[in-house]
Amino acid sequence: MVEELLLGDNPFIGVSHLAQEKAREEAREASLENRVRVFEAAVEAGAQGFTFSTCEANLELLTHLSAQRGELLDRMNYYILVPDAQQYVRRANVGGTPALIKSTLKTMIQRRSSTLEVLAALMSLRPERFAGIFIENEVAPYLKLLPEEKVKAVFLHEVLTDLALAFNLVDLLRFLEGYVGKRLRTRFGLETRNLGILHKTLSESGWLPEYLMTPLNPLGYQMAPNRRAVEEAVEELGGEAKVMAINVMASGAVSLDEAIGYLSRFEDEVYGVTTASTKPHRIRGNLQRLSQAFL
Amino acid sequence: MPYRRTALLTLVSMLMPEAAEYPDYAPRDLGFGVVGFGKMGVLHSGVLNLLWRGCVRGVVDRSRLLVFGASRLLNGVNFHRELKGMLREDDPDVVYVTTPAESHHGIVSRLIESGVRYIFVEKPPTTNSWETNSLIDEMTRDQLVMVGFQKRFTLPFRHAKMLISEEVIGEVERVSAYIRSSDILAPTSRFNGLGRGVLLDLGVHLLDLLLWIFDAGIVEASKFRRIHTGVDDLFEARLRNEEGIVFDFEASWSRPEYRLPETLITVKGSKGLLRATEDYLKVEATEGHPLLRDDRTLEMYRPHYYPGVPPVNLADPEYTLENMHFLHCIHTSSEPLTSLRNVAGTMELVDELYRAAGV
Repeated sequence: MVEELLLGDNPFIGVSHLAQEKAREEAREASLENRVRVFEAAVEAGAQGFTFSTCEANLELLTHLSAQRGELLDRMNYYILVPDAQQYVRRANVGGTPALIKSTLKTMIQRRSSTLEVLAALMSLRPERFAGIFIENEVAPYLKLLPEEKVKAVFLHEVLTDLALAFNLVDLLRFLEGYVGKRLRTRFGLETRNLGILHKTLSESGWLPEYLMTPLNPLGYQMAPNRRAVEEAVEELGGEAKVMAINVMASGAVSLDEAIGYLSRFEDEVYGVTTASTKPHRIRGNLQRLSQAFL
Repeated sequence: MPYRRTALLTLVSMLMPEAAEYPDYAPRDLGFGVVGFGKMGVLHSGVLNLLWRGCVRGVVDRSRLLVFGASRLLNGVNFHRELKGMLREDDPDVVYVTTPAESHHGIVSRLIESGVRYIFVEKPPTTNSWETNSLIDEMTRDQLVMVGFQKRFTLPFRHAKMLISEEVIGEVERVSAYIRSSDILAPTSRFNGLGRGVLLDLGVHLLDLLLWIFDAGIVEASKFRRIHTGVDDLFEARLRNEEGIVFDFEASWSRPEYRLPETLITVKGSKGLLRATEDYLKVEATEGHPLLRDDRTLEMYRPHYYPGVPPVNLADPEYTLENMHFLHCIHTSSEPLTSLRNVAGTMELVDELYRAAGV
């Protein structure tokens, strides 16, 4: 049963899975003032949550809301997606991957709160502990801003989830779930574009995170290995994990009505549905339609 | 007019038949090795393992830190710091070379000499055409070497090639094209040793596309500019083909507004205009055409081209599609579309452009 409608952040941070041309247009529109208006419109139209990546634009927005609009900030739940993968890709392009690893480790050590943790990880020779510290460091600035009880989950970005899947690193994922629960006192989730494959691996391992976030749309866009396999995975996992449906309009290639018609099939399995826009009137309209359909 | 999903799947199987045939040619009995575990090595390893679980057996990287950390984390993969160690211990059937470009020639040469039958090397295959041609000379008849020019597997470009060859916009009159990214926005000396910059690293994709689609291989003019590095950060050129069609070319990796790399090819024809990027294909023709659904316009975006295709979604779909093409070529013992032989002309054009620019 759909419990939450969420505001997504892609248009805020220059991401469009339709076309980069559109992403650049949206990035030009996504001034801080406009992002605040969209956030406000989403809250007024019934959004219960904000799902966002750990990048500068979102830190700026949440810092502003924390300082100026605390009442708005309190009305949302937060689902944090970590890390901002593109930032790391760009840094690897400039200096190479080994240099990126070294600079990331250096940053982790320089943060006073994690120095001991890094040393402990070095002593134990357990790289999964570095992964935990890395996530903690990425999320830390946001946790300072957001009401603790409102941070519902930290999600691993699809690039890392799907690489972990490729190398069958379920033990790492389980470790991160424990780390996030213990150190960040919140829940852990996986974002994936390969849910059909992930489903198979998780079934074999007997482990399931509390949250799963995945594209779900009638075109089958970003649904691997194919639409049918992802649908089956949602049907089977939906009762056990909280499934958050993202990219429900296939990045704008299908209408909201088509998306709602398709998602209705999974009404009992999907926990959250995400929508995003740089236009306040559009986010309001989308959320009103989704509320009518699912809440 | 909305697109029906079944029609989109039919189009995909026309543009990339291998996509519809998987897993008929899945690498059930092949072991893979990867040389260089940076960004591209991790990406290809991930795609391959998602296509066929556990097929990547060995990895080589010179970085002690990386090898130590990765070997502690990734069970089931053997890590080495020397190529010969991997060849001896893991005996891979297929080796991917994803190291920095300046090392490609030496590594691929050693792999050819060692008798590795199937080799994939990231783009550019070498730093110049002499090195590419010397590798071709070293290869035996039963060896396949494919180059990672993945833009040829980007479905909007494949679709554009098909529409242009069917003269949907009439005869081609003029082409302008760019490839832009924000890869280099700060000073770096990383490319100084190589002496070549954006044209070799990024522009080579666009040159390869222009040669593949239009046979644009004659250099009329070229120039470059340094911005953040000691090499070319912006490269502009004018090309021509044998039919006299003129091509305006630009490659830049220092454009902050391009969060992700984007390639745009704009084609003016006698009967219309076509624009293609990795994300879309837009056509405005003066006459209707069956390939435009009997309409005069067509506008298709990324979601239309990848409706649950390919079977792995890690980074952009063209990476999986190029890997599937390579696996298909291995299975059928056929020459890859981007084999060393098929891209030798691209590397000759790179050399010619640098020469004309005075580099």
